[in-house]
Amino acid sequence: MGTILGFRRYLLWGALMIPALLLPILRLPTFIYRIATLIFIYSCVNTGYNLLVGYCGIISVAQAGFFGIGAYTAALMSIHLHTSFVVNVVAGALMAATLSALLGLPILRLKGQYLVVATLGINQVISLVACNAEFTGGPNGLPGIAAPSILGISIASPTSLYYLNLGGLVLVTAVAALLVHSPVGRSMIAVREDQLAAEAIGINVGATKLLTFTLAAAIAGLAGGFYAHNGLYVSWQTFIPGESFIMLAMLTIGGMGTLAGPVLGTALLMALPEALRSASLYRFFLYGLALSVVAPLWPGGLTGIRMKRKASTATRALSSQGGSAA
Amino acid sequence: MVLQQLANSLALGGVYALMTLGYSLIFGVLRLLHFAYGDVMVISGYIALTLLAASSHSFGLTLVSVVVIVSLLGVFVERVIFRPTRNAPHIVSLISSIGMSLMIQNAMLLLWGPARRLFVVEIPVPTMLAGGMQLSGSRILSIVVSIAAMVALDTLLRRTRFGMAIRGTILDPDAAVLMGINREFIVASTFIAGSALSGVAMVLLGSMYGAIYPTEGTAIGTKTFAAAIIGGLGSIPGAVVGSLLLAFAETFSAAYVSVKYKDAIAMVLLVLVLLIRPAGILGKHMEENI
Repeated sequence: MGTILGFRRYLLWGALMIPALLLPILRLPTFIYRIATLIFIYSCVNTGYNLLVGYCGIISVAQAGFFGIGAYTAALMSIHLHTSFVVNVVAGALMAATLSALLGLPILRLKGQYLVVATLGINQVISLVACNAEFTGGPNGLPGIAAPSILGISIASPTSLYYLNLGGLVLVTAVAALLVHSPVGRSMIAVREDQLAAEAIGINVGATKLLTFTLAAAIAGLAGGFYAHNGLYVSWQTFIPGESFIMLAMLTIGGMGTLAGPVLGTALLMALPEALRSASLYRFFLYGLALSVVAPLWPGGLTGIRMKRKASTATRALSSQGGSAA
Repeated sequence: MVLQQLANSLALGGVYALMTLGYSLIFGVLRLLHFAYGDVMVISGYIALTLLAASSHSFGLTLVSVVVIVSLLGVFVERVIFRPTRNAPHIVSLISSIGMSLMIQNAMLLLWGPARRLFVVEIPVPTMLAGGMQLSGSRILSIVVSIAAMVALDTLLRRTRFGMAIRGTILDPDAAVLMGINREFIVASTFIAGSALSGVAMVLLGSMYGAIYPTEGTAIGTKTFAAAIIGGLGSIPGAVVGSLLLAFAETFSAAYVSVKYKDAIAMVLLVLVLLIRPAGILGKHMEENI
């Protein structure tokens, strides 16, 4: 793995892991561990999302929806079938993957802004069903999910949940790291940079897009299972399209197309409002402000790639001419 | 019953058509999705209601103030979001306008709270009863005002030099610039015209439902996209066709299938149209890429 990732990068991640592993020893107030746990879960979702948006260049706004599919699947299995944590989480990932593959097959033929609107529609329908159907508990959500237990060891304290979800994040990040440095990952990047050129060198663009879309949903579904077993309650409000927008904000600010970007962006946007307690009311307002200011001024985010300019020199010359006449 | 539903969907379709026309104009000259469109519309309604709180709620006064406010905000959004990102990749302005939408919605939540707020407007038209149908004054007004606004827009676009410049910019922005059209001016004034149409729609929608709420912009936004795309993004007649279709589908599914899934049906219709005819019913195929 060292050769795949590069030794230095390996070291950097290792260095980051040490404080994360040692944090519980400090015996900080419980709420800090709860926030950190949520940051791990959302970092997972965004790592999957980043594969889609950052690496493959597909803008979807259905990520919160697939996160919800995973969460509801795990919750329903835990409540009705009393299956174990691992089974529920895997089932959540599989359910999200299956649904996304079925939806992606027709929908990924659409490009750009059309795809954005179609995925927005998908997320809207998912949250509407979650809010209105009988089996999802309607607007009241689903309480009564069993606390996770692995090999008979029950995981219920904030610190053990912290470690469980940290483990989940490490797993997802490792999978993403292996993937983006594999031929599949390079195909994804090629599709992002230039679909026509990618096709010309023999990359199956359609299959690459579908695979990435499914994978992003599977990771979101997996994180959904972790989420359900963390709060032991799921509600439709966590999975509305607006939540997808916030995930996009986290990606934008952290930086797309890098492995650290989504984790950094998630941590920043989730921890900052908690740190500035008095500003927590303005949290989403600030997210919006950050999003609308960061995107134009600082397209790469904290770590990310610079998205290349699509307008040709000629178009730019023309529009600047139009601007000078104004 | 069927006739009643038809009349209701006609009134709703008229309002949707105004929103969608405004949206299509803006999309036409920019070729960019404006995610905060619905939110700008709703916050203008809130601001107008707050400003007018003390005075009477005459329909005309509310209409004028909402239109003025929404136009000013439209120009603001154009300056802040769309002008700086014009030449950047589409995703930049997309994310930026999503941010603007989040910001406006939460500003409304902070300023006016999450609860529904009564949208009180004196309707100058009485309720009519005809042939077992009951048409409320606000619905009659919606039909009349939306037809009037559409005729005005059509005259503007077809009969004036200014309208010709807008249509030229929609058809081919670069060629329009070469013909001596000032693109910045056209974009800014199209933003005003489009926003003004959405302002009219806001007042009609508010008086039809009698209330507004802070997150209404999301529903309005998605319905507007849906109608615009169903009809053909950027197409003016397409906007009207898409809106009417959406209003019929919504009203009839609410009446005969389920009220709960009213909004989902709009989305299902949208996804179906996108799959069968990605350019929309009346749209021409456009090369799209982000």
